[in-house]
Amino acid sequence: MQSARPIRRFALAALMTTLIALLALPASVFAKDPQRTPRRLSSVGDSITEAINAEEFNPFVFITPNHWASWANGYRGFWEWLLGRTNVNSHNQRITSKYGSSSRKNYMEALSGADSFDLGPQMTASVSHAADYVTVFMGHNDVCQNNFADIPTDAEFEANVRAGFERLRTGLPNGATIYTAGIVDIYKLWQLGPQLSGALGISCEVIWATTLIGIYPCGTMLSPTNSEADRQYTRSRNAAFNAILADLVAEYDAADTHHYWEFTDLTSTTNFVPSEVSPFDCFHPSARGQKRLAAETWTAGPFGN
Amino acid sequence: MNAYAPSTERERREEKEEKKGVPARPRRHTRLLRGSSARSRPPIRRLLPAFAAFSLFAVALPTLAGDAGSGAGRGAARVPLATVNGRTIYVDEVEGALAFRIFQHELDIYSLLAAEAERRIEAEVLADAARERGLPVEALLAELEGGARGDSGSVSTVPPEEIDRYLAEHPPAPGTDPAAARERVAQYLSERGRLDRRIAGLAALREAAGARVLLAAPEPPRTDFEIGASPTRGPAAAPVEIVHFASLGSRAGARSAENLTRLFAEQPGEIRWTHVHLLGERDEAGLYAARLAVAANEAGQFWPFHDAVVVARLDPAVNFDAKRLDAIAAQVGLSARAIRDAAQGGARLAAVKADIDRANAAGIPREPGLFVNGLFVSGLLPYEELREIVRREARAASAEARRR
Repeated sequence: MQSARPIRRFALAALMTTLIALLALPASVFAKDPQRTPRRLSSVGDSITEAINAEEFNPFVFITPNHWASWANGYRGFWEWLLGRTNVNSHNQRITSKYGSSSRKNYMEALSGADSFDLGPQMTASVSHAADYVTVFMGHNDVCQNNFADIPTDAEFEANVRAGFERLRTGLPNGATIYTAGIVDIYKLWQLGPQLSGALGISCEVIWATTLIGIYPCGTMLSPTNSEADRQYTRSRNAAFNAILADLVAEYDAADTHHYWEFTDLTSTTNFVPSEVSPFDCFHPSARGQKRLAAETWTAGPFGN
Repeated sequence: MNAYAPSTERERREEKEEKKGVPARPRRHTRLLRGSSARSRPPIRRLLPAFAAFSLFAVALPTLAGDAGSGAGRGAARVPLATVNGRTIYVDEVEGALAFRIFQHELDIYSLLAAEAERRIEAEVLADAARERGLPVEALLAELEGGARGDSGSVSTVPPEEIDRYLAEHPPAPGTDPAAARERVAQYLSERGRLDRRIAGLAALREAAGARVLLAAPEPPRTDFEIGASPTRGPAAAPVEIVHFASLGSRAGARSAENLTRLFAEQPGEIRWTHVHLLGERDEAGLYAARLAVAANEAGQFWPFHDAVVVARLDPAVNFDAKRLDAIAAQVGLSARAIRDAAQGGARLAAVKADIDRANAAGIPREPGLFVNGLFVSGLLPYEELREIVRREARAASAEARRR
């Protein structure tokens, strides 16, 4: 009996030490569920994720989805081989390459024209697909409006994003990862227009003028009636929304023990060059632009290393 | 030589003079790949050869030395690219075929430099002006903006009637909460005022500093596209050579072909027209038509087939499908067996793929696209604009012929 006392004392000391060590660790280190392998990809977003007009353009439709060239969901099949399409090496392709094709799913919830008000339905779809990995690239159409009166306030934007994030938090399987990318600085895209004009047999100004009659979106940046101050205002909203996205992601990652939340601002700080902008609408990323988005977001993202 | 040269007045004048000495259509652009004059290139275009020359100089010394005797002056200015069996391949032998793609890279380089120039200009005019006034840059910016930035206090200073006026002129989207719309407009008008003042202040500082970007944008090049065995119509000596990259299955391609047909008839003897297959995504009809077209070309019946397909594609009453294409192929004389082989055989698919690869290699962004004497022109251009380009090329060619 006497010999048991030192052992009991030792065990008690060890237990106390362990408890103190655990308490000293940040909650996120020990409380997160194991991260799931991203086999079921679900992309939330807008026309950029749909790769509108990236490499193919139907002049009779004007908004042409080029899903094979999507930075998130892009793929390669017979037609992409035949036509020598750009291999964007999307997140979808990289996941298959890294983790294999078994049980792979590639869902695109993103829809051209969607904005933060559509986060709810799109994220509900991600939940219904039981996604392991959700990419979120939304907000371009919040700043790209027909009218400055339609750009949401910070409070509205935050409420929309928060509501969407809540759906993911409460609905995604434990261990899932949510990766949010900052809104592209659309002012930088607008700046490239004059350089693209004429070079590829298009007139960006003519295309952008159609914002006046509602054919083409994003009058708040592209309308020919805008002053420089108008465009700078739109840009300031762009930056404000990115700050909200970054803050919310940080908040959710700290508080949500079941999921992994990450944000990158690489997409918003990218300086696009003309070849990375659609030669058809002078605005959306081209296939090369999508390829760059894929590479940079993947490298900086949760599964890049 | 500074690759990013001109924009001093003298240099601009010199360049104009150079251009005057260079005919608008300096050379033929198909079949043979020929060297181009670096002096006639826009400034950015000088970058790649200059860079290549610099990079390759060290490794190419033995080659240059070996060629010095046989180059007869020409070799001395040429940039070696590769060597095979003792024969040197020069950059100017291949860059003509890649001209349009190289141009797209030059445009990227120009864009990066121009953006950096703007950033440097703004930073330097602000720093200089702040130093002059003994202020930190942030304080100078606040002064330019005429008050605090974007705070709620400045939002509330927007008069309600200004918000009313804006909303009357720009009604928000249906269903928008009126209070939310007012808040958004107030924020916009307030921020716009601040930004206006900042932009005007910066513009005044730039003007006072004589700041401007000197770099000139690259100019679209002429590409030496090798026609090879592609189907061609019109006289070989025609002054205007048009390469049409198009799908026989797309409406846009058919419209573009229709424009060319009209031009071909209006400008007899002046156009040489070559067709190269280029398809759109999931353009099943275009792929099938292209396979049949390859077979028709082998039978010497490409153009009859092409013209009939274009007419059918543009006819809304025609059901444009494989059956219809088979019927057209039969009409122009293809046997049932030839049609079956075209539809099923890998050889025709490989031929179509080869055309697509050539178009991609030349940098054609989509179908329909054109090279008009090597200059890229979108196939979506209205007929009148295309006609003007073709007439301008024809005039330049005849002026060149007269000079000779």
